[in-house]
Amino acid sequence: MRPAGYQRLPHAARLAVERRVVVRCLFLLAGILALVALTAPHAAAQGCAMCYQNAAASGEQGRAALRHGILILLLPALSLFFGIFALIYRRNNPVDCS
Amino acid sequence: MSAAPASAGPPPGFLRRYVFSTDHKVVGLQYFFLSLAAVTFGIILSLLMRFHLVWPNARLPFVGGGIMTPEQYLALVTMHGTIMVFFVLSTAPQSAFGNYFLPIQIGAPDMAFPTLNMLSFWLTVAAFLCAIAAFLVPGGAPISGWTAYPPLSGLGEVTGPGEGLGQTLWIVSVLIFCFASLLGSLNFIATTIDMRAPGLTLMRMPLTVWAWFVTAILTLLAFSVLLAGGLLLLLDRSAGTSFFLPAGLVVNGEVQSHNGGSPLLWQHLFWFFGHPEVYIAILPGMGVVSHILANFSRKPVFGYRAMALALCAIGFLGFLVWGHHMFVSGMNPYSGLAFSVLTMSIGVPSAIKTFNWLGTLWGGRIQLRSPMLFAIGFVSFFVTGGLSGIFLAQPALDTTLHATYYVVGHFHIVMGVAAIFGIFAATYYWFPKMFGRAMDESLGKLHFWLTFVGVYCIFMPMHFVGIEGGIRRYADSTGAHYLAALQPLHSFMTIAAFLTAAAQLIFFYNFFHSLKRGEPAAANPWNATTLEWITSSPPPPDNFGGSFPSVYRGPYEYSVPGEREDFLPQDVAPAGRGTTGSREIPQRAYVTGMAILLGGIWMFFMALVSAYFVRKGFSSDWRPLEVPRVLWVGTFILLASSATLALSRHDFLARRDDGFRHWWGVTGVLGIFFLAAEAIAWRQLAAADASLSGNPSASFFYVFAAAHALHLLGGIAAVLLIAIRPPKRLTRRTATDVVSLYWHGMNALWVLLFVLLLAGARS
Repeated sequence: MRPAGYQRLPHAARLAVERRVVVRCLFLLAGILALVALTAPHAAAQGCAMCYQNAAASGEQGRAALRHGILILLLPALSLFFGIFALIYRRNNPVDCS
Repeated sequence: MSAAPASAGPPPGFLRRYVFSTDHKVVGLQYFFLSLAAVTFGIILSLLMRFHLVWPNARLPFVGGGIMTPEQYLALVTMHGTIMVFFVLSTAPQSAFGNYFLPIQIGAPDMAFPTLNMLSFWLTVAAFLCAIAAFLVPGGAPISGWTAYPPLSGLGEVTGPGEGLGQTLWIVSVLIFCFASLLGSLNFIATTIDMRAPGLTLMRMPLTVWAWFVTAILTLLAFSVLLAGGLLLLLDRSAGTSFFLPAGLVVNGEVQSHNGGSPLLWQHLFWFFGHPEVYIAILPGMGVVSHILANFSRKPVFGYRAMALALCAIGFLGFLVWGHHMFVSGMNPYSGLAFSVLTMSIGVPSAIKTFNWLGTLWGGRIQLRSPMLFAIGFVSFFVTGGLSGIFLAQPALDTTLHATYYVVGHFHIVMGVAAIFGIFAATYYWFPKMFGRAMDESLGKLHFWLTFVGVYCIFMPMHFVGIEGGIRRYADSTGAHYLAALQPLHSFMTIAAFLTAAAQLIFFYNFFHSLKRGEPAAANPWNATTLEWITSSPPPPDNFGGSFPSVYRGPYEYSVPGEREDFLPQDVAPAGRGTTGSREIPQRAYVTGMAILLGGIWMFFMALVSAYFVRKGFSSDWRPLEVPRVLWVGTFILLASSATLALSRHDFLARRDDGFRHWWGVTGVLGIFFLAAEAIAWRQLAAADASLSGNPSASFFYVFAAAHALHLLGGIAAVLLIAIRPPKRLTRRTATDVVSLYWHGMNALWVLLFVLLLAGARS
């Protein structure tokens, strides 16, 4: 995946090439994973059979309510999770406050 | 514009120095000793359970009638789980060691909010006392398990002894604990974000700091949801609402008056907390173990970057595991697929960690000291528990096994024992730093081997008992023929439990003996690299004696080729050590803290909103509630208060003090008007017979409105405080920023709740 004359490139250009190679590999890996995922059987309720059974027995309206309830809890939680990481990432390099 | 400097010396007086201290080291030790008391109590409860399982007809002097009843056995099960999960596994690794070492490892003089830190500890003590008090009230401790599933936990005394005042005390204890944990977590997050030493970039943070940081985020998000769930459960018990209690319940011949609630709603809220809780217990241990393995292998952590990312990935995926828990057929198959894949992928970061621990050990100059033995023990238990968990990940097997001892053995090994081995490793490792003396190595090794073998002897047979159908939570297994056949294994486990518990006396002796008579320890007895080892043992009140370090290297620079010694401390600059004279709490930490607090508050309300949707969907008794018109007026007043606050801030930035004071005061008054409008709305609803316990839509209205009003009251108090006497530590600019952020956040929240109530009134 490296271009011809790679060895003669300056260091910065070689780093850029390396980075492109890594990104391509990651995309390739993600594609393979997506293909594998498409063949995965439907898995359900890891770890809490009782939750699953209760939910499954709750009727169509109950299941819809649960779906909404789950997303309403999940989305803010994940947003906050990523938000806090974005904040610390922005402050990656602490300054001397003395 | 200057902030208060870090404390220069210990505060005067015994009470301020050792009891109500704001020094993070004292608070950390207080948490540690609280956990020590809790774990002792929890072990005693477990021994009583094991004893009863083998000798169910034995007479015990301290049990009411001499022979333990099934209800008393269930009370032991409940309280053992509660004490261990909340006051040991959530407290020792994070609150004790995190409090003590996080600020030192990042080169800070203290936590960002020291007073909040102290408050958090004393609230935890109150929660612990509240839980213990459940044993002493009529009926005794609750019998509903540490998961407190309704309807059992929601109906009161009618369902059995312990379900009266005992269960109420349990819920109150959990609520206080949640609150304390939320305060603690926002402190950890703000400290890590804003208090790091110069040069301590993310990729130079020790893995312990990464672990405490991710755990704090999980705590913030998970405990706020449990707080909301606990509050609703308390209302079901004491105010007659029906959030979790269905209609038509008949208990002991009595028809219960509740209607339309859903026990599944509790599972929905509880397991949003319950799943991340597993990671809250284990992540700090992972950080400590990575730290210790590198130190005693004299090698850098293998794949440091991958280890840090794996910690974050485990935290992130922890929420998705829950998300998949209760998704059932009828959903979009592609989102089900996504959840399936993401759920199973939590094994990937776990495997990365295990692989990298082994990679760290590989080829190292391994020193088998006591902390190292316990760290290796942690890896052993984590792998063993992880492997037995694979079987439970299969729904068909899980359905069969989930009510058996297999699950008890699995989660005790992976969540309980592994985490406790992490705590032991941390104790042996940091004891010299905390107390300036060393623990006895021979006793430490003896303690390790007896505990390591003993624990496997207790919990491995449990897997076999479970596979054979041994049902957990049964007080007496001798009644059924097929269960009686498992008694010899139970006897073996009980004897092993007693011997393992006895081995802990070695630890206690070693610990307390070494406190007084241990060998004096050097500042850096393990030749380690992170910042806690560059200061004296124990550290001075401001951690670094006024000479604060800067960081120039990664946390695990061991055996660097060409160096004179085999370790390079993080503060060693290419040309000698770099220090700075003093370090203060940066003003932006207060704004960060408020943003984090707002995040926790929003999460709490989102849990209530989620409950609203689930309860409404499951309900056959939902009647739309007409929102009183006065609330429209109130809402406009509240929005106007956001505008006046913005004007006030504008005048402040333009240095127009009169304008600032004027609009600031108007904002507070508008807040009071809003509360008045809300009170009128309550009166109107009450007059229209819409009571708290009447209809679920009314119940939610009152809960939303009351919870928001309480929060807004805090905002009004803050506005008044800033107007009258601004806090000393904050500059005026920071104070206005903090209050503005809170005020706008609460107003936005009200708009969301109001829209929800309006939408509910139309459907």
